[in-house]
Amino acid sequence: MLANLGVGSRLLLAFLGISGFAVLAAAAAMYSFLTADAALDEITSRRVPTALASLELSRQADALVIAAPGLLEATTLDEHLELSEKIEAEVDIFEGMLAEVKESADDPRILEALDTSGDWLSLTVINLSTLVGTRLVVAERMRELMSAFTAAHPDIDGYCRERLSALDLRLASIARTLTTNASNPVNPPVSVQDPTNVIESIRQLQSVRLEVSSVVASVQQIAGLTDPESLRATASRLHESFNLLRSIAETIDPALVPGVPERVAGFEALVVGRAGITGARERELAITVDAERLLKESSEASGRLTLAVNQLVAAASLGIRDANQQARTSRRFSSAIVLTVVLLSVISSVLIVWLYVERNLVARLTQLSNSMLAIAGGNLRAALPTPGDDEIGRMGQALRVFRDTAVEVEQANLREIQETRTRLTDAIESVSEGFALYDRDDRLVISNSKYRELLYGGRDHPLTPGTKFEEIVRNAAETGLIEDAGADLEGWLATRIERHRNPTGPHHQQRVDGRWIQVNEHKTENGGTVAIYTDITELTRRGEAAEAATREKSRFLASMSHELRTPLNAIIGLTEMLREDADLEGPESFKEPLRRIHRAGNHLLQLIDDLLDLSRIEAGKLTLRLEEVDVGELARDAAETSAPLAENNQNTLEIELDDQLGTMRADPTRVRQIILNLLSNAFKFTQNGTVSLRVRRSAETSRDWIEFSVSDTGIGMSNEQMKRLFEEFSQVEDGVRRHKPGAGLGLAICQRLCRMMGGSISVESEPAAGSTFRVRLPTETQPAQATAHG
Amino acid sequence: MTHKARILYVEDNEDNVYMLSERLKRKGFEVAVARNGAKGVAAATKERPALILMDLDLPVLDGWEATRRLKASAETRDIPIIALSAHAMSGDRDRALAAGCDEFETTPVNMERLLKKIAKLLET
Repeated sequence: MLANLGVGSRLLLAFLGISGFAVLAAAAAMYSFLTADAALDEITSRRVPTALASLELSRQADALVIAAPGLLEATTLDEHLELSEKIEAEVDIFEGMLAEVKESADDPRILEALDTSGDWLSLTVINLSTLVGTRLVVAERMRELMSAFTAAHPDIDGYCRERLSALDLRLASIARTLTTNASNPVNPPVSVQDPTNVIESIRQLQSVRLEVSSVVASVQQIAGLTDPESLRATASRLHESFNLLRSIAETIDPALVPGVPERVAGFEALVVGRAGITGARERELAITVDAERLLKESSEASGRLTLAVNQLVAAASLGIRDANQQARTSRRFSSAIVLTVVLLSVISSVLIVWLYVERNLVARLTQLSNSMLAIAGGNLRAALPTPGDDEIGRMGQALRVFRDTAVEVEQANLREIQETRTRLTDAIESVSEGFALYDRDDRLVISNSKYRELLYGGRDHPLTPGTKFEEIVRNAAETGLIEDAGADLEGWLATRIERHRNPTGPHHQQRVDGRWIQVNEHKTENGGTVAIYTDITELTRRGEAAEAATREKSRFLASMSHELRTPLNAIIGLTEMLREDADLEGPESFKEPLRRIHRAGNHLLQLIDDLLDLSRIEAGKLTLRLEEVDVGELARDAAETSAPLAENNQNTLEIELDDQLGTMRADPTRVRQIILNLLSNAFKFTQNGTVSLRVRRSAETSRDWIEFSVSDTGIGMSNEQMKRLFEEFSQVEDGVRRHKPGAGLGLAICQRLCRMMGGSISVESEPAAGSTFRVRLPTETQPAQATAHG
Repeated sequence: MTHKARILYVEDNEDNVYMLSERLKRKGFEVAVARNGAKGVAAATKERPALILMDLDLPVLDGWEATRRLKASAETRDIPIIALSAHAMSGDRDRALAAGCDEFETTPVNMERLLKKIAKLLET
């Protein structure tokens, strides 16, 4: 099914797979965060508040315990009320906290401990408060008793002192009476008591005073006593004192000292008994002990509470630790999951990329691109990837088509190249010259067998492409076949190689077997060298023969010319002489024949001269004698010279010269020869017509030119005739002109002379309408052109 | 024609000798003829002509050599020599002038031109 999908769909699938794993990883991460969150929530919402509340509770309990002794410091009921209200408010807060903490406490043992110690603590504090109230009441009572006692003591003491004074007085009076009676029995005492009673009473009163001060001392001691033992000892001492006092009081003579027993009894009531000072003090001490017990108990309760709170805090810490642990665990677990999923995702991505993208897509694309590169590089036989139905497969198919086409084209090209090569090789092989092509590095590219034969003189010496020219020519020279290389092989080689590299033109090599090889080398456009070896042995021989023949011909012509001229000299000279005679003496009938002989003789002479000129031009022996020539004068001179010819056929000569003809540098003899020749021809082929000589000067292609044109109104020429006009003896074969003598070599000579002078000759003509010959010559004939080459 | 100047004509071709000496005589010259170069030199030395017409192509002693000898000799050095040649090749003319000829004329002779040259040479 996968195979039917396109590359795009496959890549989409791959990306979906990778994305799926990424989503899984994200989900795992989310889950882990949520779990950790819950654990942290647990910590923040439950454990931490519990611990905090417990600690608060513990602090509150401590505050209670510390505040509790403060209660004891209250000295008035109002103070007590204020303090107890304060502490009760603290207890309320504590109880509220306790209730809160109890709600969040899980452990029943801790709960119980909390409950017990908390209740106990509040109870103790409340009790303490109550006790303090009681103590204050007792203390009040004590103060009242003490102030009553303080008041009672001077009262009784004062009374005693008063009675003592009275008794003293009584005693004194008794003493005086007694004395007077003795002396004065007139005055007998109304009631005379026995002084012994008085004295007894005085002694008794003094004892009362003593015992009262002992009681006062003991009572004053009681306020500072703190232990019940001492209190009991003091109380017992007081009891004895009062027993003594009572016994004294009972015995004291009420007549003398009335009211003592009552006073002692009142005094005793203040001091001893439950309602007295000792009782009150006893209760006070008991309350103090109770308070100390309660304080101790409250402290213990607080301690227990603290313990419980500590347990609670410990439990909360444990809970926090647990929750932390839980959060950590869940985080670790989630991390592991995330890591695993991420790892799985990476592995699966890598697998997808490697297994599918790399192996299926990239590998195939690489294969395809390698095939393309190989094909582009010219390897058309490169393996092609197996086709598939997707885009890559289609590319592969396209490549196959392309490859097949390229193979066909290549085969066609190869065939064509092969054919071309064969044709080229055949062509090179078939030329009669030795041919070789060297590349820019002077290595042999191609050569024909003639080249090898000419190079090595037919010896079987290999000549492989790629060999350096230097090596080839050295091999050739070492065969000893090259005449010039014999004496100084290295020197010759150096010259030869230099010539090969910078060819200046053909040169000749003589071989020891007498053969001559012409070596013609020239550079190709891309820096290579083409070498053409020609066996010119035959040519040389033929050339020598031809030269000899030419020399012979020249010699023959010169000699013939001489031989012909010698008799012509006599013929023409004697004819002239005879004509002179006939002109003078007659007979008249001789004149015409003599004129004709003379003309024929001159014609013959002209032919011989032309022949000689032509042969000289062709032999390159004609030399131009350049000088400054007045063009107008030259033209007029030529016209004048030819004027007699005009009369022959009743023609008119017209001359038309430019005003500014000036001079030209030329060979005047040859220029005149040309003009005369043209004029002579024109007169010859025109009857009762007009011959015009026109000369003008013009500037063209940066040079000045003189144009001589000779027009006639004569018979004219056909195109066919014009074509062969400048060939030698054309007129001889020309049926029309045959009867007109004298133009056989003239135009041929004119054309060659024109060329020698750097000019040209041309003709326009129509049959029966006349002809125009134009000669264009440069005003400056260059000295280099002054040597003729045919 | 009132010329009585004596001209030595050195030429071996009888027809030419006849023709030119005849024509020169008609023009009033006195003409002596020598049939080869050696005779020409001898005649010139002996007869002291006013002018010599020297054909170059001569037997025994050719015209150039004869001219050289005449020009080399103090006695004949001043006699003007006109070379005559049927060789129209330019080389002939140069060689003739180099040998000492005063003028050069090709044969067949253009009588009018030749007479002008003779007259010119005789004047100087």
